Amino acid sequence: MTAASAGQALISLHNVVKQYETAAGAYTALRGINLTIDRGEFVAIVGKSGSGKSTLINMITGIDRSTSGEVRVAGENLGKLNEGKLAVWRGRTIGIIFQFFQLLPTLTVAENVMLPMDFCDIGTARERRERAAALLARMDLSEEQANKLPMALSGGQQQRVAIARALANDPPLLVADEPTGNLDSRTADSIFHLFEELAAQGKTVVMVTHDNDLASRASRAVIVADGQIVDAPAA
Amino acid sequence: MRPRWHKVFRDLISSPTRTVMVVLSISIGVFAFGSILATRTIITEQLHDSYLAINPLSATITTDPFDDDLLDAVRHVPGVAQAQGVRVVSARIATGPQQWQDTALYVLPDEGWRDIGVVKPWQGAWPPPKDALLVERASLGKTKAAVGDTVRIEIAGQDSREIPIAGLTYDLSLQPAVISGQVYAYVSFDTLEWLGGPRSYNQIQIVVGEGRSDAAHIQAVADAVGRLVERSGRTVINTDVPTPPLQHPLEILLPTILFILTSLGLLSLLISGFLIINTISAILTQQTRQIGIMKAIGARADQITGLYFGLSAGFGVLALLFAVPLGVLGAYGLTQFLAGEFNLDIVGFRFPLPVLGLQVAAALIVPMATAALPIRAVARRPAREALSGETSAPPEHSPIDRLLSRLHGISRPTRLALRNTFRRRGRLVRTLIALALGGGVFITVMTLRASLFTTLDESIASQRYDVEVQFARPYRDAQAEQAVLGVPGVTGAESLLRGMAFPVLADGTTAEGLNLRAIPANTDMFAPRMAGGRWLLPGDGRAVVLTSNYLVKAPQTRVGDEITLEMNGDNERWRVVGFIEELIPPVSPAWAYVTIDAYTQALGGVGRTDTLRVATAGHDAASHAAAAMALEQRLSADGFEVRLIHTRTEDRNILAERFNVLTAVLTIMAAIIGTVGGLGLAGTMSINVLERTREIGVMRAIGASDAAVRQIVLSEGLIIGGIAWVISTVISVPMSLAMGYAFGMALLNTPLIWVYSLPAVAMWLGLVLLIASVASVLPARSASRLTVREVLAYE
Repeated sequence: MTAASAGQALISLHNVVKQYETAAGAYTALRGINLTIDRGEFVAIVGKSGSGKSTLINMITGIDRSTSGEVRVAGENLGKLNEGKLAVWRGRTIGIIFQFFQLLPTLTVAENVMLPMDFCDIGTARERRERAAALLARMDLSEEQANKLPMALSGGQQQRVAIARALANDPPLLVADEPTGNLDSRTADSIFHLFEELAAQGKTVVMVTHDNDLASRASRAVIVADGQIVDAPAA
Repeated sequence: MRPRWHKVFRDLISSPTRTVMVVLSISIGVFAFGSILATRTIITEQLHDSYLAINPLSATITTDPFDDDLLDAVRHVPGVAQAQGVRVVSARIATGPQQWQDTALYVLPDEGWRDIGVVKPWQGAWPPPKDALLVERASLGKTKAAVGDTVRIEIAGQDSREIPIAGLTYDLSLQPAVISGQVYAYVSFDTLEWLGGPRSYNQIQIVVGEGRSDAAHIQAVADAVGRLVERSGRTVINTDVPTPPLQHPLEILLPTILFILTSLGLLSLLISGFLIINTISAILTQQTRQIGIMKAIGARADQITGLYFGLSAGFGVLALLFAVPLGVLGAYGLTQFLAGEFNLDIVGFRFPLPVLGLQVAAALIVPMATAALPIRAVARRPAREALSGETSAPPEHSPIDRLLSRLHGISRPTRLALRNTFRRRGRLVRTLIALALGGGVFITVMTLRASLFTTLDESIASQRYDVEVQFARPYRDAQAEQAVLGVPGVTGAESLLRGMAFPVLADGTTAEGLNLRAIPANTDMFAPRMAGGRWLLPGDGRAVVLTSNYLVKAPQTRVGDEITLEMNGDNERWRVVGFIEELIPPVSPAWAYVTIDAYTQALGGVGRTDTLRVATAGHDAASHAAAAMALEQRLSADGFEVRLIHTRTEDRNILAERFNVLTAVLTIMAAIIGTVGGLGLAGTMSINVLERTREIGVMRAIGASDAAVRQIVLSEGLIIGGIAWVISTVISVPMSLAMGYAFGMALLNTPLIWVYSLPAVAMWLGLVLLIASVASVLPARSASRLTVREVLAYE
């Protein structure tokens, strides 16, 4: 956390409710969430399966919209942005890391990292290549691995590629949904260490996990149960 | 290249089978469409240009024999730019022992070249040497001889002579031999005299100076020429102004043929569009999660749309790699084929650039346009839905499912196959449309073929004689009949008279001549197919029955009308009592039938005949040939001068030759459309199996054998094939009826006798089941070969 960025709210949710209409009737996934996360924080969102933690980060990333309440991230009221603007905003503001890596299987590792820059028109082709190479090197991936298809890499390596992709547009916020959930404990530890480093370098990191040990290493843990925050120490 | 385009490129090559099928489907559509359009452009332009290049006549005036003095006077008639004298003589060439080929013998000037309807030297001698003849190149085959061979030729009323074929000509002014069934030969006046013909002209051909495309102006000039001819003491037998002017005789048929071919080309393109929708939809379904990821990392809806439009265009570009060269080859082949049939030389074959542009546009636009809706729907799907892998509305418990639940006695795999078939209804409908249209066109074309030949056979069968003998001059009918009845195998003979009749128009001029037959009212040798009114009755008086193609030139004529016909210089009023259907192309003269009693009463010649219709015991080709030979020998021995003998087999062959060309082209088109439909089914089955890879894994994990998996997939393919076959069969009925009507009216001026081709229906069932089996077995085999672990891990 840098001194300049510390203490400023990057994310604020006020009375956020999310309801889904299902065949079995209405289902409330989030019940009046209030949450503030400051710049440079490393926040772990913890909860059991079905507790609403993934829905919560979908609200933060703009992947889903709240039924009521307000979601503000990096100064934007996400409810006011249409899908097109939301996509561009998301590409520039948030790096998302998924549990199952979600790399595009037909693109090489380096191309996967370049893709967000391509969509957001950041840099020239050469600059994109150089940045992707630098990010992959930072993730301890060789040039040879950069030119392979994701399937040729191990799970831990694929998750490192996903992190490199999340960092491609140098977003202030990284959101990770169970990033270690599909990895063995040793690899999970190294990936978590990467997040710690990124947070230390000034990135705001929000990570969903059900691993209490990992959560305890974050600067703050937010516990979600039945669509509500049951334990959210103040930032 | 941007990473997103790398994705497009790799998506194109990542599933070669899928790409090959889509590319083939588009290629075939674009190839067929391009070939036909290019052929249409080339043939239409070149036929017209080549025809104009021979300086086509504006009008023909047929009159009594005349010489150059009259021609000089005609050239001074206001409006006449050029005039030439023409002599045409009916003749026959021996093509075998007692076998003769009808021939039109034209006289060319001594130097060969004539000014109007230019005949060009093609091979061998030029101009026609003394005591030798030249043959029009497209009709040489009918002489069964080659250049340098000597043939026996005989003009009406004269002895036959041996004459060498000294060379070939190229005459675009005449109907191709394949249509007319005639040989065209060219001689000098000296040679004609040597053969026993007259040394004088009998036709004036003129070209007007201005208004060459103005039929009314040409008619006025031709009438002026006619008046001049009459002032010279001659009779104008007929004035013919081709309408519309400056049009090759075949140009009247060309639009219909090309319209039908173009429609089929467009249809194949449309059918390929359905396969593209299915494939792009399947790709989008498969990549829903990837789309969600791209949205999550910043891709806008328009960028996603662009990406998949790029993929669709990629299919189009790959298709062009095949479609353009294939289209050029196809256009070349089809153009050469049609040009050969039309006796047209294609000068410098060049694929028309606008057609190439249309091919490029079609290959790019058709996939993009057809894929637009599914792409738009997916690109607009919220990121959360896409990320969760939700593809569309969850399967509902449809009425079909409920029906299947109630049905007993169906095995579980078959039940599952039936459910699978109706699971993705949009895809099923598109596959069915593609396959059913392919099948519909296939059955329609085969039905059209059967109808054409049935109409031909019916028409031939209505002529209840086996051999027709035309004499060079009239003989006593009893004497002629007695002669032929003495020939072994002859069971009957009927005398008639033949001639020409010219309808006299309101302004006193005459229209195109009609082939006239004066026959007994209660004839045993003719069973006409009535199109309106009635047949001739004994004691009918001045009653005439016309073939229905008469209505092309005089559409206002009705049964009961009186028309004036000029026969042998006399004008007589005749009442139209009926129209009959006969297989005569609209470009050929119509036929008129009157009773022999009424004819001889009007024109004399009671008890005379110049044509005998002869019935024989055998009706096959060999019996006909033998009868013709025996009749020729007997009649020659008895001193009769025979002009021509032709059999029903020969008549049928001439007509069948015309139809074969057409049905060959149509069959090729049906095969192309059937292939595109088959590809549609193959594509759908691969997609279905691919999408259900995980489901197949689950089934195998709970004990389904390879055979059970194959049975499910194969049953699904066969069910789709079966449904498509039923729809094809149903839609082929109105399609073939409409096409039979259009074809008949355009080519023969009478609707075809519709004969639904049941063999084609059976053949298509076999084909569709074969396509369905192959299209299902291959993906089913691949699916059953995967291990349970592999399929369950399949994403």
